[in-house]
Amino acid sequence: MEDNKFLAQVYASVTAGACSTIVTNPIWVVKTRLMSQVGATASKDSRTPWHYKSTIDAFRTMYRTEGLGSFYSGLAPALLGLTHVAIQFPLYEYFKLRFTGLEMGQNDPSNQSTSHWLSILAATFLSKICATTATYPHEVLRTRLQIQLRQRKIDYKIAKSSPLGVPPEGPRYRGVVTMARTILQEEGWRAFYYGMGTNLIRAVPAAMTTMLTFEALKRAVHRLQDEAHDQENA
Amino acid sequence: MSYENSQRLPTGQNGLPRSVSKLAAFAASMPEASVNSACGALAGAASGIVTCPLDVIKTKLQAQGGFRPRVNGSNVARTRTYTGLIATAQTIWRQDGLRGMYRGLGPMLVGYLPTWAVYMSVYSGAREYYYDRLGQFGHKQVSTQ
Repeated sequence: MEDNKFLAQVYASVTAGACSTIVTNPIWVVKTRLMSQVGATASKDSRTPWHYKSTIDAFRTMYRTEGLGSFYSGLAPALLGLTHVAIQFPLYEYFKLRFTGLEMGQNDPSNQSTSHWLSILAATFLSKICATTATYPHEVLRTRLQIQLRQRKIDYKIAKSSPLGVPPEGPRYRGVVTMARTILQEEGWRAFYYGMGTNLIRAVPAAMTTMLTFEALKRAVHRLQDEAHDQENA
Repeated sequence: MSYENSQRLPTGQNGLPRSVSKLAAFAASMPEASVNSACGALAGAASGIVTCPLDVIKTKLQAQGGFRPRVNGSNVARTRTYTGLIATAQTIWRQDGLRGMYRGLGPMLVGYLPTWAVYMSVYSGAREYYYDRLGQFGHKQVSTQ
């Protein structure tokens, strides 16, 4: 019974994640471009080949010069990120239910204690850390594959004139499974978690802010709804 | 599928002042899906404001190698503009100030709002749907969604 409930929450997370990813991917592409562009005071080395005046300017320019497809670049890896919410939200439900007896979005307006909010923060903290730990290795694998392509290009073009000499033949990693095995042999399991600390410093406060605000607002709305019903019944 | 007000626990008096009664009536008229959308959107905005500076730092660190000018196809500039979290924050602050920290906040808010509006309402609706599909959970009297 409870297993089915957990499974239902996993399905719901994937459904919701897929919907929101498809709706918002264009916005994230624009965001990344705007964030990586720097001011005129920066050195030449770090200046970007584009300069958008505003968010709207970015949308217009990209649509005009690169077409609709440019807004959906990186969609496949973004959809891989669904595994993250498929872990995070069912676990959040599990922890919130254990700590408060309530599911996500549910609340008890008569309960005024601060422990309710601490429970929500703790549930978010634990679920986010579990989800990140479970899905972070795939981000490392993705990054390795991405930089490998670039290195190969450089290797074969300039290898002979490079002072570093000709690199070993062929790509270092072939296929995801072999790559994971090679990394494990050469560098140990810790290599799958390089950079996760930095990632958590950003992701955990973000998740805690989102969930706390969401639950607090839902509670405020439910209290207002109660008020309206009380008036009707009076 | 209608699940208006189904997440609400019954309560007695909750001591809200009379002046909010119009707002209360409006809240009561909202379907639960809209409530989830609106609450999700505002939650997204809040987390956007909190995490924008950290996101700017992360994006700069990730992207910096991509713009260096090349001679004969090899990277010339071997120095990195950004190194660690704090050093990057300092560099951004020196070059562009607070504006630099919140560069991209517009699209970030524009992005977080629909992300969480869509996520929260679809999640709640889909959860209800899959609860029904995957077995009856003997809908609890007070707190089922």
